[in-house]
Amino acid sequence: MKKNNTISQLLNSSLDDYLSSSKKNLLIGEDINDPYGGAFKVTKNLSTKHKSQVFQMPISEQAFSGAAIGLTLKGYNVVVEVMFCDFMTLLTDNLINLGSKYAKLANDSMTGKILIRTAAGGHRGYGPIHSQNVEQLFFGWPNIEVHALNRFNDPGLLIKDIFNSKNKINILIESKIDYPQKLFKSEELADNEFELSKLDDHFKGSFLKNIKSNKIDILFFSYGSVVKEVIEAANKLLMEEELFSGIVVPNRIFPHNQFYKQIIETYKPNKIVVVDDGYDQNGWGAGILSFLSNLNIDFNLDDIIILGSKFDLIPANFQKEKSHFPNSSSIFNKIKS
Amino acid sequence: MNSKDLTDITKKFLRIRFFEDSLDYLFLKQKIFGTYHRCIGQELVAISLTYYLDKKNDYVVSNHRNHGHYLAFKEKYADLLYEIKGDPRGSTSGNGGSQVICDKNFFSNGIIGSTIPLAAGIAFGIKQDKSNNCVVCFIGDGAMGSGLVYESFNLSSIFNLPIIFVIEDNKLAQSTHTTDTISGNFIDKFNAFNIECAETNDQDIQVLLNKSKEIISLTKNNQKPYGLVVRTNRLCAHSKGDEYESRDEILFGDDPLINLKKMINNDEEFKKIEKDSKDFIKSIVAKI
Repeated sequence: MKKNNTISQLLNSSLDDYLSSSKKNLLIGEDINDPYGGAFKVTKNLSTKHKSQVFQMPISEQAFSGAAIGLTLKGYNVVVEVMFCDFMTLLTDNLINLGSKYAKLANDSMTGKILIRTAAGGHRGYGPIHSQNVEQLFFGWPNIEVHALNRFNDPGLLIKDIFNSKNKINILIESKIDYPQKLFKSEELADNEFELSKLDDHFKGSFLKNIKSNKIDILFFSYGSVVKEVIEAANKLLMEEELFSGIVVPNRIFPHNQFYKQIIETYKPNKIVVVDDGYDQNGWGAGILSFLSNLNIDFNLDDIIILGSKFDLIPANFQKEKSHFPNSSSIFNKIKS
Repeated sequence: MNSKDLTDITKKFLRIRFFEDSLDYLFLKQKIFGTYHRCIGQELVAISLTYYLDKKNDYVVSNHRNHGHYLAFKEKYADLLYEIKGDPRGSTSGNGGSQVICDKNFFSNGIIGSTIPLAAGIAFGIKQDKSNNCVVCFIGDGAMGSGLVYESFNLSSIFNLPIIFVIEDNKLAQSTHTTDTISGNFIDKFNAFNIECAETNDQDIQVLLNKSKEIISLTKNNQKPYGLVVRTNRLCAHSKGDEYESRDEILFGDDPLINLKKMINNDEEFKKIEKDSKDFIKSIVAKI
């Protein structure tokens, strides 16, 4: 891994490694061929280098995602690029009625795996249908796992782990504003009084806590582009309110992770705050609340705050869009109140 | 068709017919539950299109009305009955039931249209493997209302996938006449995607068999998609829940069994095949 590479460059090189490692590894999607190389350039040069494994698809998300499931029955692994997360609604039938079922019912024949990568989130002024996080549609189905890229982990290791895991139908949510960013450096985190530790292995995720103290007053759970805002809010809480924070950034966002219990019981926070870019009602945070309620944890569930975007369409107006999603100030203010 | 083929096909036909007939009996006896979609009247389409396939390396992708396809291709009668019952000895370990069968190179699902891209994906894999095989994908005429079918035709044509789309045109989508809901004709729809398509029916058995053999050979040799529209009749209700459905098409539609009997042209021989087939299914039914 080249440390100075951007997230999209790291993704590109991890897909290059994936395609080089086996002729049975394929990449499909819209506009992924050279010279265009994908809407976010993640697939640049791959169609030239791996001509027999990279296939540009027609604008037929339903057909090519269904075909990807068919390919797994012939032993092929398939990375499917879905240009915008908004288009994932078109995959629901294939993933829920076919993929989720066949992962169990055709287990012996389905010797390949699928990873659907998609660019999610706002902050680019793309308006209400190119800025959404619709991954909540895929939370709650057997055999479908949803992962999210973050700036703490090399995407290549995550992709490798996903293909090495037992699960066959996988989704990877990629924050589009993170594509041009680099991985967080430890100095950057230290500036915010944080140190980073990995949760056993990079498959699980990352955990940030204060560099000098083991005390955690507020434990955040977050993923996606909003993590940066959470770090800033946590820093402000320390500086202005003398509240210590911990931040859990899981790589796998569904199914929820058992290790949450261990962290909560170890650090005994006063509050748990779940922040993501989706809607706070019926989204990831609501799922975590329900998950924790079944874990038999010694924690008052009334002390959980769920924060998400405003329950409205994402504004096309770039200035208005800024206040649509949670930011460091709105997170800070909500906790303070 | 030689006499051995004729006997073989008649035997398969009658076994499938008696298998389907036995389901209502088993339901009444509370040996099986839920619902199922029988293929009475359409048996010969399944038999013809699978008769010349490589049973080990070719693929069949079916839909909710899959019993005939599965039995014609895999000939695993007990496994299917166990599956319908939800018994772990079933072809999908009793987890899929009547509609979702997954058995090595046979796949079906109950969402109309959803299996078409799945079949295209398997054909894509065959193409990547550079093997000389193909996929037979059965589609009901009602599924031609689904946009996903056309996305899949396009995909198959663009990538020259070795797949045969067989439209079983029984003229009914559950209870609706497809002429009321689907515009245009099916052959034009294939041609629009640059897919060659032929048309036949299941009354002229020899023609259907010849056409099946030819199209399988063309698909394998040319490694590209073909379409085949087969006019047929569903001589039973749509599903278990519609058991008392009675319509002209169902009550008075042509039964290819009559023509099979004529082709055998020997009452004694036909009766023997009939008795053997009935006894065979009885022995399967006795297992559950």
